[in-house]
Amino acid sequence: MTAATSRWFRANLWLHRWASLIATIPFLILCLTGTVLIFHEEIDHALGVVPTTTQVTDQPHRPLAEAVARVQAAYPDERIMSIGVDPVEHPGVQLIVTAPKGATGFDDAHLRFADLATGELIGATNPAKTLTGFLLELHAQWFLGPVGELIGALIALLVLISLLSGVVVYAPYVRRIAFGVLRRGRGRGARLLQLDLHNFIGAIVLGWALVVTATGFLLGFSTVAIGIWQMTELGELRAYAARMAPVDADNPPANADRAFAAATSTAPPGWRVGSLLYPGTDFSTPRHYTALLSGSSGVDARMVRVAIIDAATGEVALTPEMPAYLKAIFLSQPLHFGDYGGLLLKLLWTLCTWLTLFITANGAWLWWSRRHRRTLRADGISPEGTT
Amino acid sequence: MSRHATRTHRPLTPILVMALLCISGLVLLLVQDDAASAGLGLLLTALPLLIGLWCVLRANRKARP
Repeated sequence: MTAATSRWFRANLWLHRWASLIATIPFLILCLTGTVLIFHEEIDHALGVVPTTTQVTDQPHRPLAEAVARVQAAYPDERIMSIGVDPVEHPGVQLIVTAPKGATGFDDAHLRFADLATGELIGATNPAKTLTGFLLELHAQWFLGPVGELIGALIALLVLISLLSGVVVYAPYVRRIAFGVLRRGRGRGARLLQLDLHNFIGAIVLGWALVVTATGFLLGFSTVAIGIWQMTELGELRAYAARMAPVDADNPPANADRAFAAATSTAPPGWRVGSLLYPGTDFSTPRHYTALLSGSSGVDARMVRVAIIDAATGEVALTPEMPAYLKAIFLSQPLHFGDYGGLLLKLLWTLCTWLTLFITANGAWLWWSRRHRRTLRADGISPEGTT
Repeated sequence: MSRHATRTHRPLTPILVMALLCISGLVLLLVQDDAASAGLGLLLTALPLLIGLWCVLRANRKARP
């Protein structure tokens, strides 16, 4: 029995064909939206989604609570969900997330911006209604919420199966060549060239595609993973907080500046507070702020530490370690979107995405072409010249 | 026909080595703190594409009459 006729080979050929064909259309959509999302920072900047200020990063700023009070006065029907500062991406800007009164989730959230130097409000946006927000919702959730994320994970799994089975299927044919072959010339059909391109480009982008699909699969479970964290670790804290008197979530006794300072005191060197979630949200207890800290470089810049701050006293209540499954999801984000190595990596990511897009489409064409030729042969018509 | 052939006993070795180098480059880029590591990470990530380009150019040159 030759390698090309073994059961193992035929099983992989079947898997490669059908996993790829089922995933073709959704994967094309993912590649197209993904290409745009690689440049989400540049697009958001060009469209002015986040306003800019002239303030330099290390300039003293007004108390964070000042902008919070201005937002509360301007939007009395809304509550503060979180505040944040990002001196790297949005220097001099305070980000304030609001939602309708009584909301605990971020589904109907609005993003409002204040100038850190003056405390004045300088703009607002609905994250879901920006171009990149719309595309991200399509790319990550198929407009179906958490269920859409699981569908995305299923598509990623199909692509992963397609890649691995494709390697097994290619193995017997690559025996005499090192990396790939492009057969061209008189008498050789377009189909043969397309097949060689499919195999050759597949071999070139294999490593990249494995990383992007594996991380895409993990990201499909991000809402599930966060839900598990909310039920387990945050759940235990909520049970503990339930025995304490809740605070007024709109105006906690310890204001945002005190909570920020307390959270900053827990930060290891090179880490800073990025966001502060107010009490009474899906990510905090009715009594505590949840502060999210991030590092400044390398892996730390992509990781998150948590500090739980008592909103009544302004003291640090707890600094829980993030579970490994959440760390894996945090690390998956940059490896999926390619936004961590500057413009050169983004361009490389785009090229690899387009090459993968090409082999997905030409793989489907190869399947259709073979099927068409077989039909013609069955009807007694020579397929020569049809490809 | 143009072919850039190198006989090998383990057919998938070059492809899998390239894939592993690309993945190593992506991870190195993520964990790097200095410009040298970033450059090396980017080079490793782009290596399969560069080799692919070289293969195509070489094949084209050989195919010329």
